[in-house]
Amino acid sequence: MLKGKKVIVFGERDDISGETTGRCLQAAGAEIIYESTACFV
Amino acid sequence: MKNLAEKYGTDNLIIVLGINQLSTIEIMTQTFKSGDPSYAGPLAGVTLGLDSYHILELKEHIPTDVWKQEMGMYELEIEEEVQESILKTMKKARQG
Amino acid sequence: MKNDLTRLPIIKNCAYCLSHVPGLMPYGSKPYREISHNAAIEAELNAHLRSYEEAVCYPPNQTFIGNYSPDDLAAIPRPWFGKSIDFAQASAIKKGKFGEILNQETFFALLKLADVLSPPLFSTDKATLQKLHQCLVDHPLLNDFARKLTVLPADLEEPLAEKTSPLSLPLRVGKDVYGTFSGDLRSEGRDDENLVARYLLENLCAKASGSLAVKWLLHREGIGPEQIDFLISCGEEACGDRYQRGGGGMAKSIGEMCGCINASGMDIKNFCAAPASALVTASALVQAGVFKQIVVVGGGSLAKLGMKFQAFLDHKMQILDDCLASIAFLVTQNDGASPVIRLEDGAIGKVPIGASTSDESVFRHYLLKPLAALGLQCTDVDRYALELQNPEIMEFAGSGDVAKKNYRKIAAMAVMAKQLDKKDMNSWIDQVGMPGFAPTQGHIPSAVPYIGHAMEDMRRGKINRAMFLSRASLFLNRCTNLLDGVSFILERNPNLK
Repeated sequence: MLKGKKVIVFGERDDISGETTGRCLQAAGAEIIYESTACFV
Repeated sequence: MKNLAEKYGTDNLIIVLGINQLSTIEIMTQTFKSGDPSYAGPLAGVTLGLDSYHILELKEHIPTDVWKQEMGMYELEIEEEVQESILKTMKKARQG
Repeated sequence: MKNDLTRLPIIKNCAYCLSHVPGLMPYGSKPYREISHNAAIEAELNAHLRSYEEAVCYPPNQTFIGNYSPDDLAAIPRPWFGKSIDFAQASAIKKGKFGEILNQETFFALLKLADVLSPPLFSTDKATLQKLHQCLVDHPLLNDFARKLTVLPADLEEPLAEKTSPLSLPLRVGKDVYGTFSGDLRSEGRDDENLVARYLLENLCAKASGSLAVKWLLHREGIGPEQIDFLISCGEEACGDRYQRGGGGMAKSIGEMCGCINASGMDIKNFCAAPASALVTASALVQAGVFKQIVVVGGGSLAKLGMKFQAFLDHKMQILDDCLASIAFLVTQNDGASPVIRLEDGAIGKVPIGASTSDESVFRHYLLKPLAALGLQCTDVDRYALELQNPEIMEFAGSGDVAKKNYRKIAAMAVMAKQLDKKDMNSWIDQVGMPGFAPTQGHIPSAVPYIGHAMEDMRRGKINRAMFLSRASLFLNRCTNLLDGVSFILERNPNLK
């Protein structure tokens, strides 16, 4: 389902970071076109 | 967001969230689907029609070893009721 | 040297202060930007401010200055805000075990004192200067500062500004204008975007609030400032001009203001983990015999004042992030009584550059590894301090209870390391955790607010070991995607009876 999809990732430092999310999606064949991790503190 | 949608087209484009706050993910999901619900900001009145997912919803699509390494601890640390609420909130917000 | 705790450096004393400055909230980063887009917001913001007495009586603030323990706070039912207060009581509890909650007028006196430029950045008139002078005279800890605040520069002629412009910011207490804060308008500063009023105000607020904390630290320790030989500042301000935006010098600025004539100093920058990094560095310097009495000081963040104001307005509440916080610690050689910093090989937690930034990786490195280096498991630590932001501020802002989330992380790591059963996660968190109680002032809430309480708990024999874990969002510098994690363990001095 994720293979070949283009993905925009929004993460949060004290929840789940954008980087971690992005790595999972890339492993599933998705292409990350935007990634950010917010720091709400 | 608008620029990215224009550049890449919306056909094959999805949003994935690693944010666990229900109110935040609700607003974000609705905004990317049918426009900013507060009618303010650059996506006010703009219908992008993009679907958002929470990373926790995508477990079965991620290779098992990668999931275990990257997400194993998050599955433990996020309370089960919170995980259920996240999944419910995302499904509902996608329906618009 | 392993396990010879009597030779390790100690945290000998601490101070925690809050400066209640609602009049400066329009100059916090978020309020300033929002007001620039929509001027009407300023009136709305001003209609939702707390009084000084309300800020004093607010339980998390009382916990920060040491009148309540974190366990006392946990026993007070939420919501903590909006409870009816006794104005007389406020007067009795504005000073705490670890420091005080300073009112705005006296803070402005400190700010005026912190301004060393000629012509001054903080311009005021004769009558106001008298008022500020009197504030210092009346304050038992600050009256030695009073004599420095008597003379008004001869060239002050202009009336005080009423309206905010990028060039001049009115400094108000309620509706009264106490002065005007300008940028560096001399020829060497005029075209420099780093020397505008707001940035210089931010820096002087850090200096003034940091100096308040150092005054308290010296007072609590009963030593003169001349006995300090080094200061390390750990705030997040950037001091410098166009050629060196983040050059530093805050530690020595604070040291100078407090009379630490024999000390030198430096600034440590590590985002929110800077206090932890500074304490580790101070300990190492003491351990190596380079210096003997080091002050670690963190001034407050004007930029973060009112960061969550919008959420409070949306809920028609008073704005709770209305205080600058400041902290100071004294690090010295072992005195046979104070808590010891575990400096043995591997005991200071770090997150290497090559490590993944997933939670599992970060916590494995700065939670499990340092404990393992000491032959310990997660369950050998009595209390943990991670991010201690006040949940009332964080929850209204939509971030949830950040303190609780972080406790869930260490519990999850302990389970993954097979040091804790999954079913015991919540009860373990209740045992080792605590509610957040620090204002959202960046580096301030990151683990170190518990140090004072830990020292008290160790003194009373309630706990033996506390672990402090601090994370820094280095990716905010736009130069990297990295996080940092710094951790250290404090242990009850074995020679303490």
